[in-house]
Amino acid sequence: MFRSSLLIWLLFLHVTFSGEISFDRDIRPILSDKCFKCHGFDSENRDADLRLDTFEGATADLGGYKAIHPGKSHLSELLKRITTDDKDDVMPPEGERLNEREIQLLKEWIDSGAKYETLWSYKPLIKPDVPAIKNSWVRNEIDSFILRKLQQQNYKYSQETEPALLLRRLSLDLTGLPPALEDVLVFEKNPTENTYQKFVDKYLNSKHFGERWATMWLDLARYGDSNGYQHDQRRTVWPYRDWVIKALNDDMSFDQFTIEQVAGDLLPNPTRKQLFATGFNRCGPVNLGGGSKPEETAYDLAKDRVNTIGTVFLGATLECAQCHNHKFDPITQKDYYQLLAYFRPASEHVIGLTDNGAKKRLFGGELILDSYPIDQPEHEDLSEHLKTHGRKTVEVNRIADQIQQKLRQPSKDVDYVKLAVEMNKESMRMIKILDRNSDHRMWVMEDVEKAPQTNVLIRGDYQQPGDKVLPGTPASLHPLQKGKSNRMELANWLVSDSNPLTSRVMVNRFWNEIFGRGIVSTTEDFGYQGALPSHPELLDWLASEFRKKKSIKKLLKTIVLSSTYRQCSDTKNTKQDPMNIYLSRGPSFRMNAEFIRDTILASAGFLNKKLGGPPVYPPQPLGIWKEILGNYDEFYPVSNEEDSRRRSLYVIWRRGGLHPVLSTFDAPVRTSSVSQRSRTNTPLQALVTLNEPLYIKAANFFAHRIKDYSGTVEEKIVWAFRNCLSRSPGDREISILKNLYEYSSRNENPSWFLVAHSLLNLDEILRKR
Amino acid sequence: MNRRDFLIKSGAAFFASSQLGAEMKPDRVVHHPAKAKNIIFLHMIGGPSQIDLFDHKPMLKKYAGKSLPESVIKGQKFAFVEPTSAALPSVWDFRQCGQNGSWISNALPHFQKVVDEVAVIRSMHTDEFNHGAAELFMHTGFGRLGRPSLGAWINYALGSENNNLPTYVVLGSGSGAASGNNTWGTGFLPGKFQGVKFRSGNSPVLYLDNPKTMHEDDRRAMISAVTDLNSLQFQESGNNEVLTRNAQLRMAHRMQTSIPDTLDIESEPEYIKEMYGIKNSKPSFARNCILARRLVEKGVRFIQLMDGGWDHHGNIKKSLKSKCSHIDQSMSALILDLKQRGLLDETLIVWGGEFGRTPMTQGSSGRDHHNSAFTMWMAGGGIKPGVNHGTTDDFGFAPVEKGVHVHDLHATILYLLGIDHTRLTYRYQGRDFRLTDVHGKILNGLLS
Repeated sequence: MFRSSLLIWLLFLHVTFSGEISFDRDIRPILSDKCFKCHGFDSENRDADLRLDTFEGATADLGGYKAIHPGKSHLSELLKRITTDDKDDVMPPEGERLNEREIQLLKEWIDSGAKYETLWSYKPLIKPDVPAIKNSWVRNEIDSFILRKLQQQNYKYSQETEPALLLRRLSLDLTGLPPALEDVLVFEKNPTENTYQKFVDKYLNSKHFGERWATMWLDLARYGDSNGYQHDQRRTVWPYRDWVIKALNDDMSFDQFTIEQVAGDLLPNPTRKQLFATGFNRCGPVNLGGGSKPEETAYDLAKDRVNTIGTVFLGATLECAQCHNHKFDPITQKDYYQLLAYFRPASEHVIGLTDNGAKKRLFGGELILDSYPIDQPEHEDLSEHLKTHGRKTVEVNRIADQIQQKLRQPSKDVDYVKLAVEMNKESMRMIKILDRNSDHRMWVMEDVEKAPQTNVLIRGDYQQPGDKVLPGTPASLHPLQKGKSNRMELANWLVSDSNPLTSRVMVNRFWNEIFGRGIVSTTEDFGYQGALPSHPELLDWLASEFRKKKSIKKLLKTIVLSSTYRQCSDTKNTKQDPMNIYLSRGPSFRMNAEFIRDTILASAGFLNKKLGGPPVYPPQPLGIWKEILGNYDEFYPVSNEEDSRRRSLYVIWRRGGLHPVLSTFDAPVRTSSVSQRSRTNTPLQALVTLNEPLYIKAANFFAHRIKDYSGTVEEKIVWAFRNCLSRSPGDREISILKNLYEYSSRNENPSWFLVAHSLLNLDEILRKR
Repeated sequence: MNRRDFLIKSGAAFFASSQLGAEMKPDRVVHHPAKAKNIIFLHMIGGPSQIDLFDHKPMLKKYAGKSLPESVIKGQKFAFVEPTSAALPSVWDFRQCGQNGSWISNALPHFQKVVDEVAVIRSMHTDEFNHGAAELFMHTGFGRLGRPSLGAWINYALGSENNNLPTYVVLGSGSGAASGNNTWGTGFLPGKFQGVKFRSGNSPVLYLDNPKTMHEDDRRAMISAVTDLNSLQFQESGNNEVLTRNAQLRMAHRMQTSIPDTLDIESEPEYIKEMYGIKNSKPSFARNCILARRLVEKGVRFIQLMDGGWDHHGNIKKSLKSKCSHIDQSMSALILDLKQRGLLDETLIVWGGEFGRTPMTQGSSGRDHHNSAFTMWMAGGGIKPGVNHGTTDDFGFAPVEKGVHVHDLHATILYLLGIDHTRLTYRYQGRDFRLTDVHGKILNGLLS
């Protein structure tokens, strides 16, 4: 007894000393975790007719008593229920009970008046004042916010990282590629603010800027070059990918960027490019498997579009509301289907890529189920199907067989790249045949005039339609300016100045990509179950600037010009800030799959930097598509060497068979919008960089370049090292590589292969630091 | 300079000690004592016909050529056939087998002999009736893309017993699954938990072999240099992830020999090969069964065998017999072989397709997809041998007693591994996800 009251007393002290209770930080998480499931927003599953998510609900008269009696915790039923030992009365009835700290916090909060607050992310966005801090470290507003928090934590910032590493970080962040060695030497020679700013502008204006940031955007847009599901048919949506790259390179205003993607087809006289932008709504998975029901598929597609909009622009997990009112966030099931109603008029429309703008209407409001063979020919009932598609199938199979014959060589060490060149002619013939069916028709959005009606689907089941609903946005979010009740209305709602969510969600995503952790760590969830911002004022300052300027490049420029960004990332001398939440040092993490591959190829001098166009097919082990996908569209038309060396975002993104070089490094198949990738570290990744034939080819190429570089052995090593890692090697690093070179040249046959290959396998080449 | 000199000169020994702690330790979830350590999941892609193999329905003979009663088929939907299609009685005779008198089709003569070792569930049902979605449901508990597979969840919960082999291995025979690699995918769990597909042929794991021009000594020298350089980088930056990368490089190097060794079944005695019915060196389901046993012996946690070609829309008599002849002897031998090695007690075997097939005919001689009722069987770790669980109506159309949903199967499998399916969660996009969503009942009747 003594111990527990002492504990309460101590906790009381702790709470009092740590300042005022914050509803967002201290109270809502408890209520959300322990109470809202049965006493929350969801009216259909609310127990005892009690809701604790609003002041009115929590303080309602329950017949002589109240759950919460503001100012009087001893009269509050809630406090009795969470502290009682009576098994019938105790709350919550299941799961873990509240601990003493949580009880004490609730008690304090009730006694101080039980004030409820709107969740921080739903509050209007107001630009906060920048902390007045005088310190020579501060370069811009970001640093003031960061330094204030560091000082509060008693942490120190880190020194600026060395010029070579800073330029490397900058180049990787803005272009996804390591800097040219010449750039590094220029900056090292003259590492002034002026030079740095010149490089910032150079990389922001690089045509590769769009490629680097499209990689993030394509994850969000769940972009893929195939349908997913059975047979995983390929389709043409890559013009959308190229549109994203160009829009980013042009620094298109973020409002326009949003409007064109969500509703570009509804602009007055939309250009072809604006139609391509609507590929945003078309590039997700679609189930065309044998026996799929069109009505179900139509609803699935609309749900996918709503969920994507929710994740990308609102940081909201709307999909919970497909089947029931959201348990945590103020989104009703009706809200969900009102949003879905915006997408019901969408026909599965395509336009020709090569027809000089002539739109080809292929199938009005019908689904595209018929434009592809719908099932494997092994089905008996498909004689009709074979009549229409048979000739093509036979022709393609014949050519595929011929190629397979050539590939069936006794050696397991097929030189894929060389073979690819030989096969290229045949491949091109095949692609032409396959193209006849589909390849030159880009999937875009178009609304039909008479839209099917939208119903709330009971438990999300298309066979159980409930109440009819009309297009609309969730009542709990910012107000809707009524317009034409179409997707343009929705797009305008997203870019509305009264929308507090989108700017916050977006700047957080860019921050997350740069620093490896968002100011809100749950980049995908800004709702009640999401994390709280580590630097709320900084987030709102960045978001306010972004909303005003609507420029991604300006946002990134502000970030990379800060001292915060330029810090050294080493941790060796410090135990402070283990997760780097307070940014007491620079970022250091394994890069995304695409940037790893691009960096390895670029370091070797082997990367083909050509921009845009149809997907490429770098060599992959023979037959993987067949093993995975069976006998449907299993032929992998290997690109020639030139195309195989192109950047990774152009590699065919087939959901059922993503290239193993990418999937092994956690590249997602993007079945739904991806806000954050996992960053694993596995032996299979090591096998990829050790043995993948294109990487071996790159190492060979690099080895020849090292050999041709004029200089002593040591000079060659330094040059090679700096091509890979930008910084200069230390003496011990040089000596390890020199030993390796001497070892591999022991038979009087000088070879730089092992040195080149080793450099391309270092941890540091996979990492941004 | 030879390799030894190279190693000494480059100071490899100096760094060895600083890297000891870097091997990855599994984070293990234990909710209660486990009854099984490993799982072999035999998936018959396409949906084998329970009507012709396990669910004996003499009544169908009376309805041959006629529609099933209105009460059975009303409101039903199928992928291709009309619900009023004529009933098709089993194309194979059945026989009561074993001490429990379990009815098993004569298409499975070897399995008839081991039926006392297994628990047969005749009342399975699932939510999906086309392949892609149903396969996803069977392996991820959800009919759409994006969720982790059963094996990935188990890998996430239990980790590995072997540092030289992957924790979750997939072996394939016949044509692939409609959902491709998503049936062993990792969904929103980190990528390291996904299944590793062992390919048939010389290079079972992608990029396992050294480049053809590279001698093994060169590979060692190169790995030694890379790990030394990484270690210097660790000393410089203090970043622990660099040490993990070194550990993974070394494990990758070990896998280059451990995987081919494990997969070399030529070292098996002749009588074992005969037991499984292996006649040649071609890739087959039978070879994969022996491999599964070898992998279990090495402590691989989850082995998923995918066998294609069970989608019998037509000519079911001939095609089903042919498929059964490929699996009957070997899957039965797998049970007996594990038993004679004392491994059956700790190894759970699960067999089944993504759904079953209609009691009605498609065309003149086939069956359509059927999700209301199908049969699976389990054996080994924690399963009560000889159980017949659940029954269907007279037509094998739907369960009438002890219906088992896929979620229930998943809950039971996790239970046998010591995992409470309601507590194995992963937070993603603001929500705690479970393999069994908000469903799943443990099938106590199956537990030993």
